[in-house]
Order: sequence, then structure tokens, then C-alpha cells
Amino acid sequence: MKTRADILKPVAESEVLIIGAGVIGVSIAHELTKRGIKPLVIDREADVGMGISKSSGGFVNAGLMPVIDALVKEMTGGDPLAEIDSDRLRSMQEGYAAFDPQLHDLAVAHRHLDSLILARNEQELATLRRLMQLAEHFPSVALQWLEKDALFRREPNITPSAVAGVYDPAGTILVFSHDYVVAVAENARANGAEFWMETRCRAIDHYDGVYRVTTNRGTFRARFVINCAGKYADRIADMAGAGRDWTLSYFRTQAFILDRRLNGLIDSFITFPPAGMMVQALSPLLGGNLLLYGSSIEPVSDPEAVETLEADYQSAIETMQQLAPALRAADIITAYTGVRVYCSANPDDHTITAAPNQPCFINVIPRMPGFTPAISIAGRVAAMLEEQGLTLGTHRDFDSKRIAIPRFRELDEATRNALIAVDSRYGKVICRCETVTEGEVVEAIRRGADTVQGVMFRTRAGMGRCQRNFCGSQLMAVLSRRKKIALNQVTFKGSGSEFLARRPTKNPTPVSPKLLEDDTKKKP
Amino acid sequence: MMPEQSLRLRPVDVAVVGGGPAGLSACLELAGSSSLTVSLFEAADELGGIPRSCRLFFGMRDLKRIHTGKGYADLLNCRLRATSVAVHTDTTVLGIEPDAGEGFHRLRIVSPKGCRTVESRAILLATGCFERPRENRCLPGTRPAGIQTTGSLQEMVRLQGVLPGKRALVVGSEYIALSCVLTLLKAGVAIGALIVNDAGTGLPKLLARGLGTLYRFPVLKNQRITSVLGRRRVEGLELADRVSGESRRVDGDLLVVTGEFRPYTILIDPTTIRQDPVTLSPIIDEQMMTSVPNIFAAGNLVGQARMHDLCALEGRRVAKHIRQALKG
Repeated sequence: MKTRADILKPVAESEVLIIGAGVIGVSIAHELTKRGIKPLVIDREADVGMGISKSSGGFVNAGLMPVIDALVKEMTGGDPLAEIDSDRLRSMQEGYAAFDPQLHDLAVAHRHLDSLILARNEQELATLRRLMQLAEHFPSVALQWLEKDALFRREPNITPSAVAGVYDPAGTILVFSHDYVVAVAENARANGAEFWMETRCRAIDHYDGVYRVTTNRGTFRARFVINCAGKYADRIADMAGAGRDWTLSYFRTQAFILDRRLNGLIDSFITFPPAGMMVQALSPLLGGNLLLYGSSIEPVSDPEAVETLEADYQSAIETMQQLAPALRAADIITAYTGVRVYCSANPDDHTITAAPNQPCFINVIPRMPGFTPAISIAGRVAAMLEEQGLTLGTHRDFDSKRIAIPRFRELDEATRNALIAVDSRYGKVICRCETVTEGEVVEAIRRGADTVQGVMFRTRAGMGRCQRNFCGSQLMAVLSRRKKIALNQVTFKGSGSEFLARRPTKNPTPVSPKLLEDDTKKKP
Repeated sequence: MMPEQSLRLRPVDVAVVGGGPAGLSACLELAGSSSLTVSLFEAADELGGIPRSCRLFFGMRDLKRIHTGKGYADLLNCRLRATSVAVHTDTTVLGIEPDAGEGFHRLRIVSPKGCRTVESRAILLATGCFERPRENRCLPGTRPAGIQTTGSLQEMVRLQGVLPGKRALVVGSEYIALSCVLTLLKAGVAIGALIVNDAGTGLPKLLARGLGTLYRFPVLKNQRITSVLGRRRVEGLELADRVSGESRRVDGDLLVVTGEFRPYTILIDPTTIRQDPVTLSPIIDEQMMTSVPNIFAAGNLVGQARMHDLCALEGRRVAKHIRQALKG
């Protein structure tokens, strides 16, 4: 029998507990492991990076994006140069500079991407000219003006109505956002961080300089709590009684993924000059697909409003034809809606503050975008913890290198054969659309993918044209075998999203394959 | 590392890609009527293709007898194993390179034994088709677990003999919607509703109504799906009547979108083989040859989704054309 002491005994304890395993949470965990701390990270979802990070396009940029922000600010009546010396801009530049070496250490697939902003008429030309002027104040970006000929030499398949464009060469690092979060988390774990998934906070108590965080999986203890809960940061702060004077507001956006058949149609991030809250952009993705944004950023009251609406599809289809007329609605292979969050404490900058009455409880709510400044934010949080009395040293055996899951599709034949010679499962293609082998799926599961979505995002299996039409049941079977769980316990994205129904108790006769077989024999 | 040459299989006259009804029938015909060397490549671990996981009415027009899906697949499989055709199951064709020199095309393949290349004088593409998944149909709503196509559903039921849900909502107005309903009923899943949209022809709709009466489930017509409901697992659908605009909700924990087939052209897309701009099927001439000489296509990869027996007959027909082309 469980005694009271057993119940109160923490399941895990550490100096630092991080709530939320998005890009910010895992970056802080990673930074802390470098400094000799073994933090705990808990998250309500079944996998890391499943909140706002999942809906990020994975564009890491500290040059053009701030200039566009400044232009938008001017258009809405603000001072365009207010941000030029801001903390946020510095954090983006720092984060951007640290990103590239991090990607190499963690073996995250990436590429440097050009950006093009197209003008189609006089008004848009004027906007772009103003953008060029503003860019002169930002030393980190070198924009070029492209006349029509040069524009079409670069991107022949864009809308013929384009008359000129602004070109930002190689200013954006493109990653697959989930890939990056997983890589950082894996490396943090290899260096001592501990991750608890599907762990939901129920209560947070604080006494004697220790936080006790009660969850569905038991109690966690830590001296410091870092609230990186993104869309739910307000709820977490309230649980801790951390007297907040801010609120969160939510905005939804949609992304559409287009078929890999279109690989090569465009080679840069293409967009129109900013106009209101509308986002219209087309970009290549790492897997060869295209990404389309074609909707407005719309305020919503529900942080879980992730359904894609009929109007979103219509808007996307109109946008794709405006950007590149060769695109068709039939090329949409999937659509996502994400909800991002803004904090009222400082709508133009990150909110990284200790709660007024609790110096050891730190709220971290980045001002979007969050990927670019993530590494820099992690550094600041570490500094704040140090100020509050956490002893940070260096992790003497810190291993900054990670080895990525082999990506069969991108290997040459000799490497493929070497892999198959060691493990023949690398010779069994499970996902035909994206050429993903069973070996990759098994490796993803070994590294912590517990759900079909976790396998998909780590390997690309099932993310292609047929969307798991052919490979869905095989992915389930591999998960069930490797994790030694029953098939009806395999989920899409954590408990509650099982693929199979639990058998109704009324009908205990199992429909076994054998029964089905016998049955077919009876028929003529 | 082994020398490069050992990774090449012996060149063949005909390489057949896909071991479904069309590919199998073509192999049988080629083996029975010519001395051409034939290799068949199938990605799954057994031959047969889609019929393996279906239940009813197989082989009417090609074998002149009615079989179950599995019986049909097994029969073709048995017959093929008795021929000289080299059968490579568990082998995925990664790419084809037309005109690799000296009158040969090249295929790059992979199996648990390793990567190989094989050269052939002719290629028959018979990679079949698939149903448009929910994501491609621009169906609005959330993205929970429990959304399937008939293909993935039948595969799941066949492979694992499991219960895919308790109460299914089936969308579609082609024959396959009925096949899906039968699979579900057999597996012990209740049918919440069959949503028949406008695209279908008369007979499937009539049969749908019959099935609905027989098994007591509603058959809903003229409905537009306005939202898929449920955050983690499907909870239902929101429908709007196309005529009255009235909106209603139907409950179920499984959504199966059926029909609306698309050819599976992953292998062709990166090549120079000409494709129909709308359907993406390879364009073929009267000899069923694609725009690249001696690369043929048959079955549901070309044209609209047809019953398996018609594909099988087409497989036999394309075999004759291949024989002729290679003689000449």
C-alpha cells in the first residue's frame, strides 16, 4: 500500500524545472546542461515541440524580418526605427549568429534561403522603395533591388504581373522546425536533462525555497521553475500564484504544404509587400515540398482553435495563383493551422521576467518569431538564474555533437548498402512517397518517438502525397512491436488519439485475422 | 565494399513494376506466350495488390469465376510462381532512368538485401492508384486520429484484424464506398452515416440506398462537409445541406473518405515521361506505350480507377504489345 510519504515523494527533482518543451524550453534546457545543471523538462503533449513550435515555418532570419516589422510599424502609425536599438533585435541577431554553428553540431538539415518581395503595381513599388530606405538603418541586412528581367531570371515561375522586387540573398536559414526542437532536446538529454512527456501540471506550491509541481505523473521538486508553456503560460503562472499583470492574446495562421512534384518551381522565399494582417508567401521546404501561407493573422479567443476553415482553403487557393500561376488546388497535400501568442506585458519585446513576488519563478514568453532568438533567450534566462543564486559552472563532459537519423533518401548508394549490411531494415521501404525505410522508423522510435506523429516528424514517413494511405498501418505495426504495446494503444499524437477503438465489452469475440480468413473460405 | 558490378542484377527483357492485377496478369501473359525474360518488382511482402484486402466479387471478367479478393490474389500468385518470371517481393523501385544506353532502361531498386540496379529492354509501369486522402480534399476542420481511406482501412483490418472504430462515417459515391461499408460491418463497426456526394453515377447510389435500408443506417445526399470535429480522435462531422443550407451534425469516431482515385505516379514524376496535366497519369498511345519508347503503362495508373478485372485484362493486352515491340 502507498503511504503518505510515498505519495509526497517526488518522482524527480532538480535545481531547475522547465514547463513546456517547445523551442524555448528545450533551448533553455540545452543551455543549462552546458552549464552543468541537469534540468527537468515537462510537457503536456506526447512529443517535444508540439505547441507553437510545431506551426513555425522554420525560417530563421534576423535581417529582413526586422525591416519588414519596421515598415509595418510605420504603416500603422508607429515609429519605424523604434526597434533599432531594442533588446529584441539584439536577441534575434545573437540568436541568428549562434544558429548556424548549432545546426552543424546537432546535425540538423538546413539550407540558406534567398528571399524575394515582389511588387505588382505602383503602390507596391512605393512600399518596396520605402523598405529599401528603412533597410539602410539596419546594418545586418543588405537588400538588392531587382528589375523585372533580373527578377524573372532568378525566379521564372512567379506571377507574370511582378514588375520589380527586393532581394535578400541567403539571409534566411531554413530548417524543419520540429527537426530542430528534437535535435536540441536529444542533445540536452544526452547531456543530462530529463524529459517527461504527457505530463500535465495540476498545481504548483512553493515553500521553503522549493517548488513542488504536482502533475498527472507525480510530483516534481525544483528550486527554480521556468514557465515556457507558450499558449498556456498564463495558466501556469496562475497555478503558481505568481501574481501576473499581463494577459495573453492568440492569433491563428494557416500553412499549406504542396506536393513534392513541384520541387524546383521556385527556389526562394517569395512574398508580397506587407498589407494589413495578410500573410501571402510561398517557399521551398527541405523535403522538396513547397510551403504556402495565404491567409490573414486572425485574433481568436481559444488557444486550441487549430481547425482549418473552408474560407482558409479558398484564401490559400487564391493566393497560390497570385504568387505562381502554375500551382493548383490539387497540389495541396496537407494543411495546418497554428495559434501563436502575444503577451500584453510588452507587445513589442520578449517577456522574460521573474514573477513579482517569486524571484525563482521565471516567465518566458518570446515575442514572435521565437525560433530566431531562442538561443539568445536561453542565455539570458541562464544569466537570470545565476543572479538569483543558481550556481552555474561548465559541464566538463558536455558533448555538443549529435548524430542525425540516417535519411535513406538522401544517401548515396554505397552508404545505403553499408547501412543495409548492418541492419537489413534499412532496405525495407515503408513510406513510398518519401522513401523512408523501416530502419529509420525503428531508429526514430529508439530515440523517443512514441506516436505516429513523432515518427512522421522525425523521418518524414507518411508526410508525402498519400498521407499514410499505404504506410499508416505499417507505421502502427512497427510502433506496437518496438514499444511492446498493443495495437490499440498506438496513438497519433498521445493518449486520446488512439487509432483503434477499444473493443466494446458487449462483443468479446475478437475479429482475428484467422477468423477473417476462415470466413472468406466459406464464401464461393 | 563489394565491387560496383556485383550490385547489378542480370539484364532482363521486361521489368514489371507493381504486382497488382495488371502487373501480375501481364507477367502471366508474357511468361505463357513468349520466351522473354521477365522480372516483377513488388514493394509489399506478397503479390496481389489491392484485392488482397478486399472481400467481394473478384475475377468475373478475367478468370470467368467469382473469387474473394484474397482468393483471387492467391490464385494469380500461385500461377505466377509456376512460371519463369523472377519475382522480387519486398523490393521497392526507387527510380527509373529511361534510355540508359544500348537500348536499355535502368531501374534502381532496394530490398533488405541491398541496393541494386537492373537494366531492361522494356518497362511496364503498373503502380496503380490511391484514394485522395482527406488532407488533399481540402476538407475543413481539425486533424484528429481516426481518418482513413478505404485502402488504409482495409489494409488495417486485413493485416491486424482490428477494430478501427465503433461508429463510422463513410464519404463517397463510388462502388468503393459500398465495399468500405461491407468491410466495416464485417469488422463489427456500426455505420453512423453514408454521405453520398454528387459526383457519383446512378447505380452505386441506388445500391447505397439498398444497403442503408438493409443494415439500417442513414444515407445522406447533397451534403457538404463543413467541418471535421474532434481534437484528438474524430468525434463527428458538421454537414451543410447543399439545397437548404441547413447545417447538422453527425456523430462517429471514424471517418472514411472513399474513392476519388489518383494514379500513383511517384516514379514517373521526376522522369521525362509525359503526364496528363490534370490527372498526372502517363500519356499512352494505342500500344499502351508512354512517351518514352518501350516504357509501357497499364492498370489503374492510366485512366480512371476501374475494377481489378478490367485492369487484369489490360495487363494481358499490354503484354501482347510489349511482345510485339521487343520482337520488332
